[in-house]
Amino acid sequence: MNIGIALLITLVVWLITWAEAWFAYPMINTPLVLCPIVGLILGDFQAGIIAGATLQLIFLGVMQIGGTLPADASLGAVIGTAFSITMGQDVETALTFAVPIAVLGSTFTLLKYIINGLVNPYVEKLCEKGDAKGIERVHILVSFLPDLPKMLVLFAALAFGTGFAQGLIDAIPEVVQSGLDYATNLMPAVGIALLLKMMWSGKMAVYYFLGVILVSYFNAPILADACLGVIIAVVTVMNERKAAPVAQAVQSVEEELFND
Amino acid sequence: MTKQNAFQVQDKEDRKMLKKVFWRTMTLSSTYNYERMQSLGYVYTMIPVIDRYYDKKEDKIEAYKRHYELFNTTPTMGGFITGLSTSMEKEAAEDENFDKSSINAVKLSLMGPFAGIGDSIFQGSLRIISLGIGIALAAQGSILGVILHLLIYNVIAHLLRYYGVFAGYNMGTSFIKTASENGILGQITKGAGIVGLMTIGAMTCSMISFEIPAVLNIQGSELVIQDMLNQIFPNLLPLLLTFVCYKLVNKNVKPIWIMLGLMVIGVIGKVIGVF
Repeated sequence: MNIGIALLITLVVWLITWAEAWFAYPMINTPLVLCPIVGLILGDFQAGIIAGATLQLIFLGVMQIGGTLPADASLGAVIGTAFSITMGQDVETALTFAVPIAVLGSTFTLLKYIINGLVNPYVEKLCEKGDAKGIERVHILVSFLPDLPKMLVLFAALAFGTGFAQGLIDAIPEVVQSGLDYATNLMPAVGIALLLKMMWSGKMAVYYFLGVILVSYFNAPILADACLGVIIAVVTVMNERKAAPVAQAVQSVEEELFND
Repeated sequence: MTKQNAFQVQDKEDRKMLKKVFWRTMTLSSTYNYERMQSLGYVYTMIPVIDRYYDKKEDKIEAYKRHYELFNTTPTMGGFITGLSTSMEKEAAEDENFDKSSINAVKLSLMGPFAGIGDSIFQGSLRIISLGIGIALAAQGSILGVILHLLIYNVIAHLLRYYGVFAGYNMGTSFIKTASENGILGQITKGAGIVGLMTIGAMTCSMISFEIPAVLNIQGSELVIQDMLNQIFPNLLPLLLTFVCYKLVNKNVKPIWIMLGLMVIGVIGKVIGVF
């Protein structure tokens, strides 16, 4: 790939990575948004949008809760999409590269958090001195500089990795390609399972199946499903709130009884 | 008693300062680290407040140090807490007898509940809905999918990011404490859970395509496997696959191994001609 283009993609990704954390996670550092941008820079916007949808679906369950280390969906999506577009391949190729790269990419997140921590003693000193300007400066610098190692790797992969990737793709036999293609449709199950792990509870399971049935028998679009969900949530919570004071009153009556 | 809007702040200087707090609260996670988590972001957020309310240098230093302590919450919900800290710092600056250790005690007691409801509203619910709608459109090649995802997510998230700061500042300790004690937070979490689970259920069926095109030939009559499965329940296979993955995830199998497993299954299926 042209070095100038690789540099441009790297800088845009760096900016988006920074903005994601700086503006309280506006969900821009996601495959759905990144892939079309990569596509636009490489001259195939349409392929970028499609790749974004496919990869986003697979990485749907990847999320960061309380400082855990998820796979780096963004890094995988950017490199995978860039490779598949420069090689003139389908979205399956993007996926083939995106998954392993995303897994390796989580190392950079770990590295970033460690580097971030290195400034702690220095910031402590700044607090002792009451140097507010200094604290502000450190916060701003640390918000983007520790991403440098990851961005260097991204740049190198984009600038010099295409030939290697091409060789790899050529070496994969036809039947394996079509098998991976088929697996692309199955993989969202992993993301959904991760979401379920976070949300599932016995009492709430009925709502999951309500969603299942709405789509299976009525072909409801997601938006309709979500709207209905909001209505059910409001009704349920309102009913609970109405019932709550009664429950409290009952409890206080009981307490009075026991107090006597 | 005059009724006051929870989001309005009369004093012009205060409003200006709170807007700064709002912009800075968003950056909480930018400098996250394992040891102190969002502490650097928190001092950064409180600097305009501390500089405005305290005159003496040693008071300022004490306040900087106070806010450079471990803190961690969802940045989108953080405004409620930074807004609250702002009003407490104001009280502390005006009242000599104010117990300053309560400022951090309140921060620490609220960061958990707010992170919990933040995760269930934003990660588990809103994010899934906006991405789900976005993916459905983008899969057909429409840029509208990307735009709608960003709009749906951020319009709602932004209201909380912005008004959270003002609400936290106005309502003060008592309100937020009662809110977390009388169950409002729990109910919001539950409501978000309902919407989230319904959307996840819908996505299970609309976004996994798992069909078996193979046709069995039994004594001359053709048997289309997929037709049989559809008669039992449409989307039976995606649903079963999801539950198998869920069981594996619950047994702490790394998602990447499940993904690789699915790749292998895809290839084997093609080799033996089932798929």
